[in-house]
Amino acid sequence: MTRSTRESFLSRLHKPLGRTSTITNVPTPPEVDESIARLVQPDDDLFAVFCEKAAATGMKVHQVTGDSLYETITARLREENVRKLSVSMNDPMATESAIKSAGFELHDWKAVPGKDGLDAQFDLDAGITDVHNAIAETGSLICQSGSSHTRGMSLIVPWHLAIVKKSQIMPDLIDFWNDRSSLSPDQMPASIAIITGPSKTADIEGVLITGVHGPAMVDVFVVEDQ
Amino acid sequence: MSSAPGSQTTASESVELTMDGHDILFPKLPYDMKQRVQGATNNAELQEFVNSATRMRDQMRINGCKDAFGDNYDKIRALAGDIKQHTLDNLDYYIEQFIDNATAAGTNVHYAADAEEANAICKEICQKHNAKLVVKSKSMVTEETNLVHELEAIGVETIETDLGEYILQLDHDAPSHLVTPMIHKNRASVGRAFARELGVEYTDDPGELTKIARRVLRDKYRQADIGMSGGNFMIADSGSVCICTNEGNGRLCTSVPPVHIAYIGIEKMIPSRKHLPVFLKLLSRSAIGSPITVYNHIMTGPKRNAEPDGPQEQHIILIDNGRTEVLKPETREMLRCIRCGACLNSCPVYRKVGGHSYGSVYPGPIGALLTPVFKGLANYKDLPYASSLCGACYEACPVKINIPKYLIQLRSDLIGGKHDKFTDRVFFKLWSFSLKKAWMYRLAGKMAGVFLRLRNKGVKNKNPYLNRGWVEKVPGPAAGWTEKRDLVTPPTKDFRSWWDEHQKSKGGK
Repeated sequence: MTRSTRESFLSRLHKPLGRTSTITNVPTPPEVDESIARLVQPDDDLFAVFCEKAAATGMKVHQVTGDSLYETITARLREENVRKLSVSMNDPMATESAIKSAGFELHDWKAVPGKDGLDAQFDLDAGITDVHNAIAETGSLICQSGSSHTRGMSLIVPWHLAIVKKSQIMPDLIDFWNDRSSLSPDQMPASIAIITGPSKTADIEGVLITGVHGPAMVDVFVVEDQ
Repeated sequence: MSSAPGSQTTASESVELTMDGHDILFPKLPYDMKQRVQGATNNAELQEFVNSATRMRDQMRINGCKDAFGDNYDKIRALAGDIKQHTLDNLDYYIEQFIDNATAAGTNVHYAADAEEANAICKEICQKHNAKLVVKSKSMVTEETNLVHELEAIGVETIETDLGEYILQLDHDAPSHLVTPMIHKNRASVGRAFARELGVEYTDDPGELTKIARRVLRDKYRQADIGMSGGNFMIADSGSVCICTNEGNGRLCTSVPPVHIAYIGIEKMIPSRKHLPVFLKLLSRSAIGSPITVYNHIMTGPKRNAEPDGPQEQHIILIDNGRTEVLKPETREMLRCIRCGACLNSCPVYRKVGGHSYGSVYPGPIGALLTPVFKGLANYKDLPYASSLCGACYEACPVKINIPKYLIQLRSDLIGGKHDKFTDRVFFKLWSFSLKKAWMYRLAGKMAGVFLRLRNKGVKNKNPYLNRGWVEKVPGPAAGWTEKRDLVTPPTKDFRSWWDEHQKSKGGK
């Protein structure tokens, strides 16, 4: 069997499109009309909208200040009888020391990178992350891959705790994608996850079950003064 | 398929006990849907499940969309439809742009003209990595190419990880809905399949069943050599693939194993990242009424050097498999489809006959359009007629595919623009003539009444209003009306005459 090449594959497209080579002068694509598609305005109370929408997805929302953040987190960890957890964020020092001094076992995911590193995360009770942004419209968390971010901490662990600074909240999904649209392909993070609630399914007779493959619980700590 | 004593039958079982998942989606051609339709309509449980689940989701769609968009609901559907149409009109350009950008991000892009080529590419990648285990998330195009069977045939264990698809795989069944694939199955059949195939104690509690699946599949993610996915959207200006899931299996399949392969039909393209939110806002609302799926995973290339984890290799297989046939101007609009399933949920025919009756990977109204074009109209003559043309699908479609219009077009194509029987031609000529003037319509109604009374087979004139007797059979093109039921003989006085007299007697005009 002769394999399709880029050229032979594209020529299959040219015929039904009524041409012999790829069009170069493409008309401007339809603009995203914000009067239709935008659901949250920049001057809305983003903090309030985000908290409301995030809670509606089944995430537990905690409104905290920089001072009460770690106290609130460690209290929740105790409440859920967490033993072993890990932290994945840009500046993990303060969080890690708060966790350790509260007596929890801290897993160092950086010690073993790659597949084996992810493998170890299947045995953790919880993971704490920061976010790259949050979206008021849907109550979503944006978690990107990067040098200080393992993919597992918002995915593999049964409980994801996310710290959101008020200043990170964007009004609408439109704003997020406008912001990311000038990055070149190699500048784009390999993975952008838009996370909106705990893992869900309704496959068996439409009965809603929380916690299938991804985290069954998501707690969001929104820091009002940051 | 389960043959345990006392097991309740599913629609497919009641049709043909030996039929497995593959035969359900790939029946003998030309396909005659009557047998399966009969099986489905005689299956009380299936009737109840599919009917209630689709009605519920249809209402959730309406509520979700009206809440979010209000009076703009129609406008955002038009916007999404315009964006998709523009992309399809310039698909060669956007495919080239996508290939360049994905390659720049480090992705290996492959080209598959048909199912055979797609699977050959996939098998080569598996063999290169000496893969023993593949975990995959839900993808309709892998159903099209029959990928799972082909990988298993070369000794690569391939596990569906979407809960519904996993259950169907265990039970050798096939999906019957684009979004909720096991809409036709009940919890007891899931319990039996788990007990039989996994050796666990029988339970029919959905929460417990989900826990069992979670436990089994978590080990599979850890052991898998390759993760596979489909793709909800390809973004030309960044070379990214976006998958939208609620369970998290899609993200696990594309994050944990060291190699990621995505199977994507070429029509899934959108021009830019700026267009993505329009579709993210519409997809989940149209499918189940929720504002957005729990996980939207946008992937651009394999893991970067500085990143601690993620797949080291990413392969995207661009798949034609009949799509360039649909891309011709007459049918191009059909390729706008984003597989939300809203047309299935809103369709009175789908609700009655279920997904397996369509005899193909794509069920429901959109399947009735795509399947005949993909696989040949002569092979699927029933599908264009599997619709009441009520237009509910068109109203539900987030990208405004005019499904009824194309169904009529396919019907017309089937008869070559004219009915083959002389009597049919005369009948429809007369019918369209009689609809042109009110008096002709009334006259035709009266004549039909006389005709039907002449064919009356029952008791006559005992009580002319309660028991007028029945017409058991009418000839010609109207035969379908009495195929499944008798018609009540029309009374000698029709409603219009009664109404006129009634109004007069009350002193009206």
